[in-house]
Amino acid sequence: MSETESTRTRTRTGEASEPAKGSSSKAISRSGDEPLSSELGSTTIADAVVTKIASIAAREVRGVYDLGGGTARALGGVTRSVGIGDERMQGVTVEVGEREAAVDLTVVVEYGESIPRIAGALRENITRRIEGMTGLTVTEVNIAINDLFFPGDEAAAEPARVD
Amino acid sequence: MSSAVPSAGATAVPVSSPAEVPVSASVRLRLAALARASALATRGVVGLDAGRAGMRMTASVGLRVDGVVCAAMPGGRYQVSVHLVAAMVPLRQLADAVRARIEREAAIAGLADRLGRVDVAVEDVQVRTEEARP
Repeated sequence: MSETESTRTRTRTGEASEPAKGSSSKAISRSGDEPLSSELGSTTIADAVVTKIASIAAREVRGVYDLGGGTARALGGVTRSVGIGDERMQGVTVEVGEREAAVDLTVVVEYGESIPRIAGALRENITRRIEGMTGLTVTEVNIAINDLFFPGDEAAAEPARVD
Repeated sequence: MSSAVPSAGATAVPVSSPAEVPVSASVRLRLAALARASALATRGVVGLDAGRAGMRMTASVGLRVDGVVCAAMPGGRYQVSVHLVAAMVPLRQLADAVRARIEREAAIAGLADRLGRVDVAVEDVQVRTEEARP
């Protein structure tokens, strides 16, 4: 299934049927208790940290087969094979501010699973993990379902050319 | 430490604890070493991150402390920035624990009046801490 033909669900937090970008809706938003900066010093969470947390949280959801588009996954396979890639970074883009974070995900789901359930579970788990670990308020979790995985797809790989 | 050691940061000898810093070393370097040791001793800290080019460091007279940037502030104090690699723990509480430990150790070392802001940056997280520790 190509990306242009893919089933695409791009849902903004708190506005399930609204695909418009730039929404200020913050249904998932929860305020942090304490400031990340004071006269004693500041605490900074790098984008890579939030990306990794979001990726791990996404993979914890039942029905998520993989993260990333076709190209990202293909490139990820190559970079991993030479030891320079990190699959936990693929398919996840984050914007991190001083107090808030927004997450964009590209997901491959297993055939037969409910996409609305997966999207809801992704949004809930990612928000819980990021807010729990970083204290940042998650304002958006945008999910693009990029492909479906059919059981047996992996077995249909090219047969070995030598015995 | 030998005076033959080059003074450039990239070729300077890495320092891991305040004990490796001579008493005659600058306050800046002593604070940096103290901050590094304090951070590494905090539960949940896997390591410190000097960045890809190794630029996050404090260097002086042939010694360097990786992962800590110590900069002068007005009034004779030094602002300390610690760049962490953390385990999968609550990061804000971890940063507060690192900050508190650095302040405590600075007081013990008699450097409390030279310590300014302590900024903590979590640069990366590691899922399994045993992968990072030797």
